[in-house]
Amino acid sequence: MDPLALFTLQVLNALSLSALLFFIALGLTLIFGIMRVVNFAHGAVFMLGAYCGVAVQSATGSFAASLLAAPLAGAALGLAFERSALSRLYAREHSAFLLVTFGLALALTEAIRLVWGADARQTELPEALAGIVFVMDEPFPVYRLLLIGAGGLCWLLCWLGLQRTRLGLLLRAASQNPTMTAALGNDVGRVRAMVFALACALAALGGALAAPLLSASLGLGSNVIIDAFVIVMIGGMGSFIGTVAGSLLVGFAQTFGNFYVPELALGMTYALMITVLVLRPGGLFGRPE
Amino acid sequence: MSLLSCRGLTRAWGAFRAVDGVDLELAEREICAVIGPNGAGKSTLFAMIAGNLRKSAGTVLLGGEDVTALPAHAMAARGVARSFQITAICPELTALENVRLGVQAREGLRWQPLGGRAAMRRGEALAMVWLERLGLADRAGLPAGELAHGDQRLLEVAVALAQRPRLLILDEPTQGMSQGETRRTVALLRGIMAEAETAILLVEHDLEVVFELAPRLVVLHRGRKIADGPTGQVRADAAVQEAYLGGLD
Amino acid sequence: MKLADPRLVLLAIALAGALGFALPGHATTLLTEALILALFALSLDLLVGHARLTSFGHAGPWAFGAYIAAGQLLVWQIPLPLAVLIAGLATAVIAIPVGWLCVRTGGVTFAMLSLAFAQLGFAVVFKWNAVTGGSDGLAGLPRLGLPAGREVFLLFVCGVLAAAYLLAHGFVTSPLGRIVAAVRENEQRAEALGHDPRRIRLVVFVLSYFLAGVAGALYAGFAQFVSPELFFWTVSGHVLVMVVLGGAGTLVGPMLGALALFYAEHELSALTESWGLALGLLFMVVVIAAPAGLMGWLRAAMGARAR
Repeated sequence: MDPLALFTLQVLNALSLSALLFFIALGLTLIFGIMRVVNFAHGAVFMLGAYCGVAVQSATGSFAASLLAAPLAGAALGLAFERSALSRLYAREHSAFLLVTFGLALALTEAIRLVWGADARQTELPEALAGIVFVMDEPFPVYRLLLIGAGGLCWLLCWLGLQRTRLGLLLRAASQNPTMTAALGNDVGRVRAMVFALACALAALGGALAAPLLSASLGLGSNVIIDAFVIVMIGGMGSFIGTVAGSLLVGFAQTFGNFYVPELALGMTYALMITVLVLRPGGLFGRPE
Repeated sequence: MSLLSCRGLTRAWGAFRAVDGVDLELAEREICAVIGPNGAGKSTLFAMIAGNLRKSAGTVLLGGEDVTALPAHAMAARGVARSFQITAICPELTALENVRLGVQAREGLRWQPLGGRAAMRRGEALAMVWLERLGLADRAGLPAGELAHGDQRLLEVAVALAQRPRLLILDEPTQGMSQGETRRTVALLRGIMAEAETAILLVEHDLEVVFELAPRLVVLHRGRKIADGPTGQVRADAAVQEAYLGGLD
Repeated sequence: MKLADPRLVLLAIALAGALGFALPGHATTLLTEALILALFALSLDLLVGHARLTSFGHAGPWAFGAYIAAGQLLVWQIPLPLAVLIAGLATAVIAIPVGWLCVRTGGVTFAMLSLAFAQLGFAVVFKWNAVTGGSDGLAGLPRLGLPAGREVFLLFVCGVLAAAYLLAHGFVTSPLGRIVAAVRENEQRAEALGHDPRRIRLVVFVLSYFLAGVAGALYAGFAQFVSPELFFWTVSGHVLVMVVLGGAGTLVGPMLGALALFYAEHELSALTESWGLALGLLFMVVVIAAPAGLMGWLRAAMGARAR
């Protein structure tokens, strides 16, 4: 294969992976930015989205339906969890959040195993999306291109939302100074619930989008949370630009690492994380902790 | 030879200079108060001397040794103890334990991972002595976090004193105290300062406290030192009055 | 007598050892496994409870110790008691660079870094087929250097647990142990007392990992089998739940938590498939409603009765 074509394909692969990672990392950074909480269960929510997506698609035969159902399920779960569990812990020290979201991850993983069993679940793409296009005379799955598009669209919508809407302004204010924002009469509790629900919806949507590519399995949650955390750490907790940069960095590192040095690929993400943390404990874009 | 010798201490953030070329000499057992309006750079200066903050420029000599680059814990190991503007005590440990930690630091009870039981008990006895001196003996067994604010400030002083430092830095010890508590604290500190073997650097907003405790006064204004001398003299200085004292009464 | 009096604890451990001769074989085996987990939980408590460094990767040193022990038993025929000690020391050595990196951070970053290292361990062991047996693991580990019999093995485990407990308790009450407490309570204050918080945390980290490695090595001798799953995050999760459930920071609490959880799991997982789910939910409830865990509840109950 023509080396340039190969390179281009790998770049496209990396972009599609980055797009998927962006869905989950964005939610994580939103939650941290607004609520100063790190949601360890975010990977499990992503996994839930994948399973939900597969289930809805087998039941209805519609991929679009799965893309609707998954984020709804994620949002519902996020809302319920924030109201019933998280909201009681805001006065406590941070290790409580770590632990309780860890418990959620455990519970979610088990719940998924109960409902859907321990086998991985595969899903079929609808005909329209299962095709290939030719990039530089080489075949490339249409679906991956769509993922890049979806990621880009998500980025655009979020950016516009944060910059142009009143809600976005509120979110940005709350992330900078929650006490002041509350004092100005905004219901910070409601903001938190909404943010958490939104973040979970995004993660679940990412999972549903990922299902045709990665297949839904029980190990998905724990793999993805580390990637997501690495992204948020690299990009800086709570930084929107940082999350984009981090997703690209990790997506590219994993794709190219996997291709050129497969034995070390697994270690790549960890090496990256460790390096960044040692050099800049607050991430590349975030505030030093 | 002076105990503490600071030359040209500067802390700058971009063009803004919180502390600008401050010189400060302190002899052994000397007591000196640093005052100035808000934003004059007092806490920043202390943070630099104690090693909590890096210096943009300048040097610090402690007992003749160049300690400019040393971090806070290394300074503490060399006999610098301090209390903080925002109370820094160990809330879940008892008052006695807190002070005993100070004694531990002094007695070199650090790198023992096992045993040391007898030495710790001796440490506790010494800690009790300090608590008694500061009027906290009856609350020795309480978790430090449960003490009243004024008692917590005193506890911090006790911990610092227990370290038997060469240089003691007190950052607004009476901050947040009531009038009565402040008066009691001043009397207490005066007694302790008279017999203590340590040099003391004091920052205070309450000028009554300053005038009662410190024979020497340094005045900072916008990061610069504008006066340095015996309290009575500095009080009368016109420049100081204009910049600071004149506005307050 | 205080609830957590060390003499009581040692007595309890001795009793457990003696029980081995009275209980039927199967029960002895269960008790042995439970006590090994108690040691595992004890090691984590030093980190999570005493130093307040939440770790999501404690399966790392546990599995590492297990594999090192496995290697010694299989390759060099080293008797188990010595193998356990060597495995613990090897884990402690590895804990120095890992810990050095980790203690530069705190809070969430520490948790995730520790998890990352454990996952790294999983990846290495999984792939390195030639040395570690890959996904199949290493089976048929011989219990060298010990007289045969479950009761004897139980006594051995009790001995190690007792020694570990004495070490942990001695550390927590020692001058250095109290400085660790100061660092966790107020880092600024600890610095002002002349202590380098990073170095102090590193000491606890290494000690904690040492004991976890010992526990893992014991497990290798117990199960006579090691596999990459020992590194998995759910193992880290389980031991963390034991610590929180039992009462972090009390040393005794986590050991009790380990026993309680082990037996509950054994009984309930036979009854219902949704035990894992119940555990996750219970964990969340405890974190929210009873953060001091079992020990906190016991102390409150005893305190209330005294009144």
